[in-house]
Amino acid sequence: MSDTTTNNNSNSSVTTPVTPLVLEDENRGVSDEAIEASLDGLKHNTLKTSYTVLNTNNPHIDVNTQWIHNKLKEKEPEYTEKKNMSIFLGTWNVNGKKPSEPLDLWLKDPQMTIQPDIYAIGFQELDLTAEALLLGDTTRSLPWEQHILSSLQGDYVKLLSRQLVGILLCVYVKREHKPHITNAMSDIAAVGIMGMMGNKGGVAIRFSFYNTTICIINSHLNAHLDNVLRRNQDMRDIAKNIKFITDDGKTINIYEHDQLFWIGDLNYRIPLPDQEVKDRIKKKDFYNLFLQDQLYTQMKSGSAFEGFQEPPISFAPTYKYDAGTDEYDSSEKKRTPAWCDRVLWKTAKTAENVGILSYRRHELMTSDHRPVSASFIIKIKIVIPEAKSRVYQDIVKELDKKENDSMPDASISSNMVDFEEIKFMTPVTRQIVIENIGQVIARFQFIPKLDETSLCKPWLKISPIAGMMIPKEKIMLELTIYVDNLTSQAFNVNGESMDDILILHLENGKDYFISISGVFQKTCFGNTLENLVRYPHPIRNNIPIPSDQKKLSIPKELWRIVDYIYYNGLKEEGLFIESGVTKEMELIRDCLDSGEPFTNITFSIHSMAETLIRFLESLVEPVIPFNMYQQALDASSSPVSCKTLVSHLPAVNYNVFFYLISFLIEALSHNQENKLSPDQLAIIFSTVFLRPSPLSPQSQYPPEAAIVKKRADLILHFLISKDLL
Amino acid sequence: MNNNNKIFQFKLVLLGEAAVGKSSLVLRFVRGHFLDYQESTIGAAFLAQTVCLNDTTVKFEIWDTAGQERYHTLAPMYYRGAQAAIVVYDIRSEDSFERAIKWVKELQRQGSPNIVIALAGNKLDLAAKRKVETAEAQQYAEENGLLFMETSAKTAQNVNELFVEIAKKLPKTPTTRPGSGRLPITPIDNNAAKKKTCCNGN
Repeated sequence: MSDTTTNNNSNSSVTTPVTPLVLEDENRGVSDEAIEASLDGLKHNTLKTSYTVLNTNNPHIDVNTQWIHNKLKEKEPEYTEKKNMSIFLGTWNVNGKKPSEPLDLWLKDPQMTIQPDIYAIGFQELDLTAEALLLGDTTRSLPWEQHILSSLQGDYVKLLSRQLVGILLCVYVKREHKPHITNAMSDIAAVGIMGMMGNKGGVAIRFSFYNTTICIINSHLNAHLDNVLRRNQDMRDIAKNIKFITDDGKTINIYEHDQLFWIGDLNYRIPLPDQEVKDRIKKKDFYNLFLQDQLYTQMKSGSAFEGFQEPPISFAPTYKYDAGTDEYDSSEKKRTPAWCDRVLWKTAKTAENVGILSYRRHELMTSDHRPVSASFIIKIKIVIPEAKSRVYQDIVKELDKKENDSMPDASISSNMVDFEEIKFMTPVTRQIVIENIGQVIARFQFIPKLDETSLCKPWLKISPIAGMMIPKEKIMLELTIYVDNLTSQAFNVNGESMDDILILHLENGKDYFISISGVFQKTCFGNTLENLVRYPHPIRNNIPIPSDQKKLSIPKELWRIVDYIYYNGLKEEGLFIESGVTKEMELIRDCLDSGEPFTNITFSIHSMAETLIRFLESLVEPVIPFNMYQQALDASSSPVSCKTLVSHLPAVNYNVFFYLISFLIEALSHNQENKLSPDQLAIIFSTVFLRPSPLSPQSQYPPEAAIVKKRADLILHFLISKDLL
Repeated sequence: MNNNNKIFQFKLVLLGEAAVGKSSLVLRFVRGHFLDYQESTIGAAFLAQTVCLNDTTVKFEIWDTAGQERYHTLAPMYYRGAQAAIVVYDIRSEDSFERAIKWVKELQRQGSPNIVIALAGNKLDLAAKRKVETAEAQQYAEENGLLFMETSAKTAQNVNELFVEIAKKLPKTPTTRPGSGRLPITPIDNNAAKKKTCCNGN
C-alpha cells in the first residue's frame, strides 16, 4: 500500500493544500501541473527529513535550556490555575454532497447550554471527485467552511483547517482565546489503496490552548463489515504516521498531548442480521446493540484505540439512510445500520480527565450519514505570568547554585615560593601542598601563560604537572630550580632576575597563581669569555665595567686557576686525569666568584684541575666559537690551516687559547713527573675547546671517533710544534 | 510564551586594582552574601550566575581576576573572548580610579571588539570618605560609552542592577554560543605545553 504522509512542519495558521502522491500510470490523463505538484510534495518531504537529521546531529543542543524547560513543565501546577472550558466535536460523512440545508441542528443545537470555547468539525467524503483524489483540489471545502462559520453563534475565528481528499478538519475558537493559542500545527496520514475505494486516512490538528495541549484527529477508516482488522490497522497507521515538528525541530506524536480526540467515520459495523438490528433500533434497545458493536468489542479486547474512551451511546445508528429521508438503506444492498460515526477521547495520565456534556446525533438529512457531536468540559491550565516568572527564576537560581557548588575548589599552601639564594648547578626544591576542599573530584594542571608554550621558565621543574584529587585529598607539588650551563646565561650575562608565575588550573574551575622567586648567585661558570673580561672585580655582587673601558685580556678566574696549578701541581701525577671532589670544586667555585683566596679552603690539586676543565666546558660558547666549529674540523689535518684558523679567533678567545696552550706545553715539559702525554692532553682539552652548538644536530649524538680525532689533532698540532703560536 | 526562551551565555570578566571589591561584588551577586574580610584573589575565580530579563535569560560565566599589579600580564588570559567586563574602583581612592581608566583603555585596545564595559565605583557604603566624585566618573563613562554605577557589595546596593544592565546591553544574537568557556584539561608536556585554548574558541 502507498503511504503518503506529508507533514506540515511550519507553525502556520493557514491551510496548506496537500497534494497526494500520484502513483497511477499516466494513461489516466494526469496533468503536468499535478505531477509537478506531487514532486513538490516529495521535495517538501525530503527537505523536512534532512532538516530533522540536521537538528538531531547538532552538537550544540542547548541542554541547559532543555533541562530548565523540563523542570518548568514539572512545576506547572505551581504557576497555572485551572479553568473549565468546553469543546464541541462534530463529525459528518456528507457522501460527496454540497451544503444544502442549514447546519443549525448540528452546530447550534438549542439543547446546548453553553457556548463551546472550541469547535472542531470533521467531514468525510466531502469530495468524491477524481480531481480531489488526484490533484489535491480542495475547492469543495470552501462552501462547507463558509457554511460552518455562518452557523456558529457568537464571535468565532478559524484557527486552522486541513484536508486530505474528502477528509476535512476545521477548528474554530472564540476570538478572545485566539491570542492564547500557540504552536497550532496540522498533519495528515493517508491509508488505503488510492483510486480503488476512495482515499482513507486521517487529518490532525494540534495546538496549545493556554497551557493545555490538545490534538484532534478526524479520520475515515476502511468500510465494509468484514474489514475490522483493516480498520484497526488503519487506526494504528494513522496514529503512528501523524507527527508534528516544532520550531526547534522536536517531533511530537499524537499521544504527547493533554487531551487527544479522535472523531470521524470509523466505519465499524454491527455484525448482526439486518432485521435484528432494525428491530432493536425500533425498541431503542441501544444497549444490547452496542454490546455487539465492532468498535466496542475491538476496544474491549484491546485491539484498537487502546486507552481511548467514548461517551455512552444513547442514539440510533447514524448509517445508512436513504438520503433526504428517515429510512435506513432500502437499496438492493440493504446495508445493516451501524454506528459508523463516532467521537473518542484519550486524556494523558498527567492531565485531568474531561467531563462529558453530551454525545448525540443530529437530524440533518443531506447525506446517507447523520452528523454526530460530542461536547466535553476540559480543565484548561492557564498560566499566571508572575507566578511562572517566579518559578522560572527559582529553577534557574537553583541550577546556578548547584553548578557553582559542583565546581572544584582547592586550597594551596602558598602562592609565593621564595627560593632565596640559588647557586649554579645546585638544585633546590621547595614543596607546596594543594588540598581539594570542594565537594567534587578536582583535576588540576599547570597551564602556560597566554601565547606561551612552556609552563614555566627553563630553569624550573614542576612535578607533577597535572593530577587529580578526591575531596579532602592533599597532593604535594615539588618545584625545583636548577641552573645549568644552558640556563645560567640569562642571569650571568643578560642580567635577568629570577622570577616566574605559574598558573595552576582546576578543570571547570578557578586558576591559582604561584609566584616563584629566587636570587641567583652570579658565577663565572655558564658565562661567556666576552662577559667575564668585563669583570675586574669578583663577579658576585658586581656589575660589568662599561664596554668602552679597558677589559681584561683573559678572565681573571681562568688566570687564578691556571696560576694555582702552575705553582702547586704541575708535577702531580695524573693531573687532568684523576677526578676532583664535587664538594671541593663547589668551594673553589665559590672562591672564584667571591674573590676569596684559595688559602681559606682545602682541596686536592685534582679538584682544581677538574675545575679548569669544568669552567671551559660551562662556557656558553667554547674557546673556538660555534660558528668556527666546522672550519676547525676541516682544518685539523693541516697545522698551517690550524694556525690560520686560530689567528681568526676573536681577541679574547685568541688570548685564552694562547694562554692555555702555553700552559699545557709547560705542563708537558714536566712529563717525567706528571706522566702526561700530548695525546692525552689534546683529547681532554679538545672536547672543551671545540664543541658543536647545543642547538645543532651534531650535538644530539656522541661524536664519532673520526670527529674526536680531528678535534684532538687540532690541539695536538699546537702542543707539539711550539712555533705554531 | 513569556520566559520560554533561550538562554544566552556570556563571558564576563572583573578587572580593577587590588582590594577594590571585585570578589565581593561577585559573591554578593552570586551567593548573596558579604564577608568583612575577603581574602585577596591570587589567580582567577570562576562562577556562574543567571539573570532573568523580561524576554530573555542571560547566563554569565564570571571570571574574577587578581588585582595585584604583579599579575597584570596574566589578565589578557581572562578578558580575551569576554563579551562583558566590569572595571571596578574604590570611590575612596583616586589611584584606583586612575587604574580603572587604564583597564578600560586596555580593554578598548585589546579586548573583544564589541565588549560591553561597565565601570563600577564600589564601596558606596563608605561614601563619607569619598575621593572620586560621582559626576567625574559618570562623565568619563559617558564619554567612553561605558555603563556606570556606584555600588556597594556590603549593602548590595546596585549590585544586581549592575549585572542586569549589562545583561540588557549585551546583543542577543543567535550566534551567541551556548556552552562553557572554561578551559579544558588537555595533556601537555612539561615546558612544552600546547597553546592554551582560550575561552570562546579564540
